Amino acid sequence: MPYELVLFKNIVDPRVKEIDRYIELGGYKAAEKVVKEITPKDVIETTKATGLRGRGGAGFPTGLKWSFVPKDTGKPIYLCCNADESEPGTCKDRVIIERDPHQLIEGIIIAAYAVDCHLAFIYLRGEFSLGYRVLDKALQEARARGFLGGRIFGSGHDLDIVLHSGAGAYICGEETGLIESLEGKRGHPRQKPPFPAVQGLYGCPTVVNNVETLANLPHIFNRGVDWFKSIGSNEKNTGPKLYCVSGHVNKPAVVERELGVPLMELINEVCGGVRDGNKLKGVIPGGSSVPILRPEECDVRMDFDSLAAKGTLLGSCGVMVMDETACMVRLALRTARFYAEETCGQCTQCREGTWWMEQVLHRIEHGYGKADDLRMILDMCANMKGVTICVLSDACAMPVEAMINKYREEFEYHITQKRCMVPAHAHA
Amino acid sequence: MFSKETEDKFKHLVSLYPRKRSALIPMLLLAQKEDGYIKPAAIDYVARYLDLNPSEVDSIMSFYTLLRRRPVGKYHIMICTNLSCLLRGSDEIEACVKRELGVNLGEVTADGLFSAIEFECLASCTTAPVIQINGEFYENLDVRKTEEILDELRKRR
Repeated sequence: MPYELVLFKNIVDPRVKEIDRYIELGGYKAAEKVVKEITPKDVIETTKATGLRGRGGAGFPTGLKWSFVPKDTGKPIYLCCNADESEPGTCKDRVIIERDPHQLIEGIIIAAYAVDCHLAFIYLRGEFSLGYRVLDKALQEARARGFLGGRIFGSGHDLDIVLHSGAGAYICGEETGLIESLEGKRGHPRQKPPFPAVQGLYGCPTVVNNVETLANLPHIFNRGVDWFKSIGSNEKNTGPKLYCVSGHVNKPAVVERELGVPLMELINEVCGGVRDGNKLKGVIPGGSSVPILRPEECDVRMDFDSLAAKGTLLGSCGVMVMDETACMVRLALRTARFYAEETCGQCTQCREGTWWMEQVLHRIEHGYGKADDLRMILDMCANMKGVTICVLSDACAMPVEAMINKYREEFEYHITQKRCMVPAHAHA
Repeated sequence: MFSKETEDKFKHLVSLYPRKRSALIPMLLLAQKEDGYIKPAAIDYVARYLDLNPSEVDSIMSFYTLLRRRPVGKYHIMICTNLSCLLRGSDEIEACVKRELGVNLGEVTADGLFSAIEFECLASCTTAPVIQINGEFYENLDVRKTEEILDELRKRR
């Protein structure tokens, strides 16, 4: 049976950005039903029952995250939609934001109601100018309809949503970095615990959910738990999923399939195969922070647990495909440079580790590598994992370590021959 | 210090948040929109507005790559060179932009029309290689298309 689109069902309709069209296609029914007929507790229980896991990268069960919010503190509860999409290789949330913003707003309404939040924020990546205009207009439309504001949908629940622009910092996609940034500070991640559910924005209980996660909610409350669970590879990996397939494929695209679609099906059947009939060299399955897979490891389902079993991660589903013309040393260097650029600098291992890793990879790439360099980088990697406030340090160490371990001969060739073993890069 | 429109937006922004300090970064973005970059006087002004120390605002500003202390060209080009763009030829796009502008990355052309910088992943990986000019995306680029875009902007001035 062909896959039936859920999140992207209306994405090709240029008018679905407008609230009238969105409603005509069945929009806001789920949110209205939820706030008028279902108790917040049942919204949480239903979401738990679907098995929905966060789509931002960590894959934490959404309903469970909501259930950690204490109800009796007397403090306001906040919801932050994480729309700071910046993991290299990832461009799925942007599609929802720019083309179907009401789907996201409806999801936020449902989540906010579930955790008893009356003020929600969309932390939008500063580079998304079009996304800002689209969301701003959509929020105005929703307010004008009474779907946001006081007593939404004529219920007893008040909710407004503030659209907040970031200003260019990858680390603000980390949930506590996001909270700090939203408080008007540098986006320095916080030590956990306390987790944001207990002590988040302004010291109050806070839930941070990714755009795609929230976009699932209207569908769950329209179609039910059993329907949601019927999609996906197993009980722990349920629902629809967006995949961003980029790099050396014939038809790069953001596509929707079930969580757990086989990786090679995504590459060959959905994205037209490796470009120009070239040989597959490797795939980074979940954004630049996750370990690369060699071709022989690519017979795998794209879900949280199947990829973990292969020693990598589903992450943000930024699937980057490399053919035989790609130089692994160059890719490792570019990866390290990104994290060196984006480290917030709080933790020594990360601040120094990312910088040194870039320096050493730079000299290998440019023909000045030394015999001991690979051992040194791997030693750095070991010292950068699991030791810092947030996982940016791990996110640099894990992919670089995997590239060296899995394509070691290429790095050694660069060091001993002082040039690249990939013909296309032979001048390097 | 700022136009009536920007002042009104400041007032509105501050009213949106439970604590006014949250308006800091959006306010700096607005100040930059009006002046092209963030002037020292704007830092002082925003700091006073939010009861913050100017040096603290300065420090926070330095954390965010979109906030600039120096003027850029009328058309400011951000070239994505991260993995997906690199795999699809961002080297050629970068070389093309430099050649066309005749200046290095980070510099402004003598006529003040253009500036370009390298940028981290712009979240447009499936339409790589990409650039942004004044915040708008230009996708699926090749050298010829890039040259045409720059020509078009030169004509528009």
